[in-house]
Amino acid sequence: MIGMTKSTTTEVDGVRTDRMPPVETGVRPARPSVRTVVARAALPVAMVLWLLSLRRVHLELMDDLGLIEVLPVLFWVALGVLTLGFACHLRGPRLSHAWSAAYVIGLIAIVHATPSLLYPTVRYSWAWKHVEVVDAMLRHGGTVPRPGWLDIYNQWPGFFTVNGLLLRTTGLHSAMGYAHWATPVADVLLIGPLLLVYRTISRDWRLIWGAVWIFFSCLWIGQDYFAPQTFGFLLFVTVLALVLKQLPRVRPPGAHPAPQLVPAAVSPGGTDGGGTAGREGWRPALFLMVVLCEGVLITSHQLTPLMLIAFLTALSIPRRNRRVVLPVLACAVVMQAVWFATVARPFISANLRNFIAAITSPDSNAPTWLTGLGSPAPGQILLAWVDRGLSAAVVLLAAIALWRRPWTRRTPLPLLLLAPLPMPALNSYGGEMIFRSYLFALPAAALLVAALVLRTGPPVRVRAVASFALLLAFLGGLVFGYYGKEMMESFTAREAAATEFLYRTAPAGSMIVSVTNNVPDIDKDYDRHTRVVIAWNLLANRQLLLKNPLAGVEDAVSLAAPPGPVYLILNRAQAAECYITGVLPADTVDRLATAVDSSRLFTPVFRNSDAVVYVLSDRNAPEIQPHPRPPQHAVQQQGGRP
Amino acid sequence: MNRPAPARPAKALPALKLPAFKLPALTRLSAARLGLAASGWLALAATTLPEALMPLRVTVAAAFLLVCPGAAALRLTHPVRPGRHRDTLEAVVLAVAFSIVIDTVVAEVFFFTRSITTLRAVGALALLTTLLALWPVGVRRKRAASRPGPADAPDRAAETMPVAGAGSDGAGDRSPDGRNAP
Repeated sequence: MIGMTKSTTTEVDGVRTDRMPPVETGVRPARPSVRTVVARAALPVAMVLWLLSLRRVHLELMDDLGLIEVLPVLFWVALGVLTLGFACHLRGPRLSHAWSAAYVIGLIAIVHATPSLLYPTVRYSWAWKHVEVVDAMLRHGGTVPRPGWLDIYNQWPGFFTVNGLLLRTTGLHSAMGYAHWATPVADVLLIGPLLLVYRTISRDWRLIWGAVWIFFSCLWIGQDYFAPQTFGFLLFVTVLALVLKQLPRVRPPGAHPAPQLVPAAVSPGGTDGGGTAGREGWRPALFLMVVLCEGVLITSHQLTPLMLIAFLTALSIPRRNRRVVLPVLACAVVMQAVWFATVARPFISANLRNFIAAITSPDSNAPTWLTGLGSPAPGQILLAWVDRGLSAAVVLLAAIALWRRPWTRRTPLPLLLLAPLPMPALNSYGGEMIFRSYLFALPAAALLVAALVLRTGPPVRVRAVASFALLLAFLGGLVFGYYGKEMMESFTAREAAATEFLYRTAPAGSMIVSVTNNVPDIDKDYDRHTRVVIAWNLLANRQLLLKNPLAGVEDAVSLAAPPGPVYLILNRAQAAECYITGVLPADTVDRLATAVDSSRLFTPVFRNSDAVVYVLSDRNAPEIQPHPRPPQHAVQQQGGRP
Repeated sequence: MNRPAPARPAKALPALKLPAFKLPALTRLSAARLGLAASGWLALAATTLPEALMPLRVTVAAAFLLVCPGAAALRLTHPVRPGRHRDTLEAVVLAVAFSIVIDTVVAEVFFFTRSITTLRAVGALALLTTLLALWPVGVRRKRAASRPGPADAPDRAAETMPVAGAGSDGAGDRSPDGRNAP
């Protein structure tokens, strides 16, 4: 399936084996070992157990550890069986690409498709927002006028325009349907580019598939949903693969690599007589396509092209790479500068001061709960320790691999690992830069960790058990980081019904107020309505909300001073966000609902068990008339993670 | 009957042998190449299907957008040298990635000119795919090879140059486990 080398081998039950000897010799094939049987049986067993485990999951019981608390034992057994099967598969006598791919897809299915199967609506409020941006751009046939705080998407439209094209061509009415499955699909699509990257560094397919498994086992930061960054990361890894393949290979003089690990970049067959060899420069058509890839990256996401520039800069450090890397790097820098100076100029000029301030304030990476007015949920402290521990362990193991596996130092892996590390010092990116850096370092780190822990040789059993335990530990860390905030990341159908009612009834020009922005589809028709998110307002307004909830809402309304109708929407996920992150005290939403219910100013127009929508009934009340205040736009920039 | 002694566990992992697989030839004016050239027009025709045939439209249009422009571009970016096979993994991955890139570029052009319509967007992509699919690749090399004398020496040299581990240019010059493809 992969590759074209003619082979004298055949496949029996999916296992590539040598041809059986003729019957007349009297030699019978050896019985499959226990390890082979486990490797073949574990995958289907795990899949069946996983599907059975999803029959009865009570999502409403989720608390501060999210899905971890409500997934049944059978789910965890399925994950364990799958890991055991993959560990056996990796150490089997023959490695089948089909089975390796099936195991990785099985892992993606269990970890990343479970939310899609369980949740009735799209996961992450940001995914809803991106769907609405696609719709708005299609509605206007281009740039969205009056986009409010979502103006940033007009300046990086690549991801949205290509989805618009897909909708136009297929005739689908909205991206909502496939956005629900974007996470597993994006992860499966990522397997190919990852294989291409790893293949330029090693020829050992056990190492390569092991690294792909480790990559998805440690991908806990949740940047693989319907979003420009997911799209950008896919292209980033592809560009990286294309560049790495063009790099000249180096063979260390007089040295042969370890037999277990035969990295392509240092293999005996790689070059003649040591030194460097390789393509001299780029084929023009391929170079043009790489530049086009960069162009699409630059027009689609703010951070990914900067990461690409950082990686290309790192790769250009060795003199032998420069002929390949510098032209690509130069094109990326020029195109990025042109984009910043033209289309993205409004955003850059508005935030230039913040960017400069971020460079001089390295503590700005503090998570939200350190700067919020409330305390995060108790489980979130544990979760923060676990996911940060996982990240630290991966980086530490990768560093040990660089030390203990000398061949890795002769590959681009050290550069790929270190390239994103300076980025957190340059910009906080809403407090997320350190996690984004981890994401971009993860492909290299995963291969390094695989090189360290998936080595064969005596003592065989000790190594096998240790690597299995480590793979399980990675997954244990992953589920904390990936499932731990699901109380606020998931939405019920009743919450979505409230938003649907709101936008069906609210006339154009209405103002929609909420405590946080964690409402499904709240940015529907965002070019027709004004949004006020109290959690993003000035500290004085937030403090007033805590002291007197009704006065806080009135203050927020008067600050925005809209001419049209005013709606207030409160839902379960806003309360969950306050509880989970501590951005506001956990009872803020409930106190506000109680206060508004007894107020003469607001009238409930929609209510179910998970959400309530109020309309401002007395538009001329003195409490909500505009009065002079400092501008609130400064905190509107805290929007989150585009 | 003596059973063979169980093989001792090898110290080094055996090299992975990869199955032989041949992608449709895109170098000659093959049916696959003609199909690629026609795929965009088929997708354009699919956009006129009635609502009842929506699943067919979605399938045809999505398949075209996700594979065909990139597969056509691959002929230029990764031409297959005579006697070599295309690297399947690389071809599949890059066909999808390049398709997405080309789709995005076309969509952005219409986005910034505020002139996007289904006919224009799919028509532009279909035209581009047809041009890329029918673009004569390797004609110059063939002509040079057919001429006697030193003029063809560089090409012959290029084709016989060892490529293993050398970051070979053409997809399929080297199989994924590092050996030269037959």
